[in-house]
Amino acid sequence: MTKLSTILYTLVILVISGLGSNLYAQNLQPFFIKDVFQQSYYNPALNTKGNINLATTLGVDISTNGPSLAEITNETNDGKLVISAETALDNMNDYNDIYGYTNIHTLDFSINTPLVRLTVGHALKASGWTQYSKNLAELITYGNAPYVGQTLDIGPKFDFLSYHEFYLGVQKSFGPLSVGANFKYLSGTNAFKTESSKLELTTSDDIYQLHVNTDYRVLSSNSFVFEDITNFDLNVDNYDFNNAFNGNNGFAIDLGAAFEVNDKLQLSASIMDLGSINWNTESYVYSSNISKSYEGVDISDYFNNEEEFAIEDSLKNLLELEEEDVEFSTSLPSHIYIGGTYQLTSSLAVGALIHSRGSGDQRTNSLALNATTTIGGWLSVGGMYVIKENNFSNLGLFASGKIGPVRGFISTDNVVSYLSPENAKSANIIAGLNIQI
Amino acid sequence: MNLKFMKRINALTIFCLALMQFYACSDYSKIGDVELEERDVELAVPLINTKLTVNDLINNTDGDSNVALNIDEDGRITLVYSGDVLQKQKEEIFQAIPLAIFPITDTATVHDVPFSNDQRVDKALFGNTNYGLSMSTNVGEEVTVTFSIPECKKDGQSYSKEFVIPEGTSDFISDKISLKGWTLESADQEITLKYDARLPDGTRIELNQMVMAIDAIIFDYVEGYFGYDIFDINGDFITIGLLDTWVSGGLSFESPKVEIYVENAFGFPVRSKFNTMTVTTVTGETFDVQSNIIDENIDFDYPDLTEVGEVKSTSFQFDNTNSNLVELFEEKVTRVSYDIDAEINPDMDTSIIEFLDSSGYFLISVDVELPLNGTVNDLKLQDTLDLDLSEFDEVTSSEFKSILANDFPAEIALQAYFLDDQNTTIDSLFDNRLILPSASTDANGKSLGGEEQTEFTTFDESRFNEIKKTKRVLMQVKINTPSPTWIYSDYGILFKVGAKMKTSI
Repeated sequence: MTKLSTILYTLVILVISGLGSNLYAQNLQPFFIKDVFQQSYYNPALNTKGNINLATTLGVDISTNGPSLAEITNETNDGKLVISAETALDNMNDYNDIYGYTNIHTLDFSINTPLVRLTVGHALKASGWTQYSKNLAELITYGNAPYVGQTLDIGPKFDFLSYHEFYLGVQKSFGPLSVGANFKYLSGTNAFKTESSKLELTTSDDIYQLHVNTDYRVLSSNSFVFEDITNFDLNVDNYDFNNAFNGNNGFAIDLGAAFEVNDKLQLSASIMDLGSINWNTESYVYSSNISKSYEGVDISDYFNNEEEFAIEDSLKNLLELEEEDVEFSTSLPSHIYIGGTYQLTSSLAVGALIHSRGSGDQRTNSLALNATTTIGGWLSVGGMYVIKENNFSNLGLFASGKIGPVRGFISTDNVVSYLSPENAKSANIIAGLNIQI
Repeated sequence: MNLKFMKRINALTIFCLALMQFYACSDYSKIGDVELEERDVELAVPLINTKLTVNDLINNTDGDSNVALNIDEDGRITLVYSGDVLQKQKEEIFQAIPLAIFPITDTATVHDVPFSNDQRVDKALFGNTNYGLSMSTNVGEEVTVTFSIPECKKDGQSYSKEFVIPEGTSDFISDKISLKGWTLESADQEITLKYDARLPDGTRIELNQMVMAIDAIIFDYVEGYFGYDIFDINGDFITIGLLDTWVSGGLSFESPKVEIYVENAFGFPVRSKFNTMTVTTVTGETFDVQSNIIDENIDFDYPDLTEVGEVKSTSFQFDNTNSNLVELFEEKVTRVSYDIDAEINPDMDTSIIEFLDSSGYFLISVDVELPLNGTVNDLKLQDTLDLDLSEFDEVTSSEFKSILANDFPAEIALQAYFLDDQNTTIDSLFDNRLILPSASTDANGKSLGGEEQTEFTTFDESRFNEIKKTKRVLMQVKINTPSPTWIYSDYGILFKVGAKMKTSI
């Protein structure tokens, strides 16, 4: 006979990987912090200050268009937060996205030579996106019994990749015009991506026959180990050194230009992370393309033999993934930045930045408006209002201090999330150090 | 499963929420306290989905089964239980004559053909038969020997073969010579072996010694009279599995039959000789089948001389017109045993010219035919299936939904009992034995199909905990027919069970 585990495994398997993924996005604030090397993360042409720069930066971000923490939890009398499935489902969209991004620049070094300004650096980057349906959450929460006679769309979507980046950058100014480019060698560590995600489960109202209709196809490198539907493992890692420099090579380029219109106004545009990675280590495609039913056991098969009456194998077979060795290529989620800053007074500047990020149909756009003031020559503080898709409540803050050649900063795009954390749908932080000589 | 698995989901969920909060929340004390609310998960799964046909019910899925369904043009079913087919080939009846030595003491020596005294061979076509000659002489010169058998003919010519003993050879042994295709024709059952030995100058001499050796005398075709004999066909029995699962109650068939079928390709008379014919019942009692066929025996048809190569068949049956089978089968027969011999030339009529050829055989098969037309009175059948419910260790309660339909024109009472490892009844699937009413019938008594009947049985936590000890399920049916009725091939019992199982995580 079957185990409940088999059934639950079968029904909820793929959402777990979504919950377990590291999910981040990107903070735009450093674009407006003058005189720091980290501006070049948004446009390589903006690396114009100092003769020698050393920099390191950590940035993480997560956002969702699904329910916030307050929308999935209840607070108990003793102040504990308890995740309430009922509350969560009430506040859930039919489909819910979670985006995430990490960007760890371990070290950047830049030197201004007589000919060009040269930069080398290393970074670990990871980005992820997952989309889950309310149907899937309902299935996990209540099982399929409440949905007898219905078809549930339970196929989650994923797009995760992480890689090491080594780059050589050049920058050159021609009067008011500055241009720059970064040439990147990429070493991929993890990839996990759905190419198609149709996974429908129908429970008949007769004797609860299960029908599965799938067109599911997922690509994986160093991420997914699948034996059967009850025995699998998903391991995606933002900080993976084990799988670095072991195949999975890729290349990318950043291109940017900046123009000093006058001594107050600067305009800039760039396209970053234009490239791809070819995945060839532990690279597989797992697919299921079936329209299949489990109707129950025909017990007449068991009348004349000693086999135990069992349905477990049949349920397992209902959602098997076929594994095939493949090499595949994934494009990096590219970034397009178009922005400008205007120095209103000697201590106050304003700016705007349009950011478009993503690849294929997973592109997100945002607009950031910034005001920055300098206090005493060593401290800068600024505020930023960011409009993201379906999210208009992002008010960011940053602070930057300088001691000698060392400047440090810390920033968030959404300070509201700190004031009302339970209601936040996005949160991020970026912090960096820059030694500029 | 399970719980560990669901806890893993919970842990991952908490981790992700904590991660979000880490970046978004200023009150970290709450983050560490996030817990998942306990909830009930209810799964709906199909368990059994079967239409039990007559074929299933008579245990015909086993490849070793001796039963077949005969379905007539109207769809009515007859069960046919078959015994082993018994067959006798020519070699078992007319055996080859092993190594034979014929001394040839003179230039013409007469020997008796080695057949039984009561057999007469008018004509015999040699098959794969080889002979050799051993000859001795002391003349020292080359000797030419002409060996002949006047009774051995082909195309009107007598058999003759020439051998040469080389010069200086005293003992000569020939190669093997085949007689295949030569026909032995000897009305007085004798064979003459002749030789003519001459020197190169034509002088006829006598050999010091001459012997003919035949490895085995094999005939492909024999014509004559083969005498009286009895061949032991060996006893056998036929198992009637229909009542393997019988517990109690009565079952009667309108016209059970034991059909005997004989094929005979030998050209001589054969008559059945029944030594025993008995039935054994579910209680182990044995009863004799009584019939005039057993007393008088049956002559099997056989091909005559103009029908060489043809196969003649004879069939006869024990039924309700010539035997006590109907009464015997009311005792719920589980085995039919028989011991039949074949009597050759029972009337010893030597005037019959008989034959047998190499392809000849004698075959007898016995079938028990049970046309499924009868009456059932409180017949109770049961069978068990292995079922281990301990794997549902996390289920706290369940509701079984059963959908059944009975196509048979018979009332069927159904129950399934959950048994533990000691075969002790723990509980039952239905609170009371489920009664499936007889299907309605048309004017000819044929079922119009059963109507679906749905039953829900709820097992609360304490009751479900008990049936988790289940190791077997005992399926029990009780059948009643109001009057004799035919069973048709499209009859069946629809049996579907689904379950909603609840667990807390």
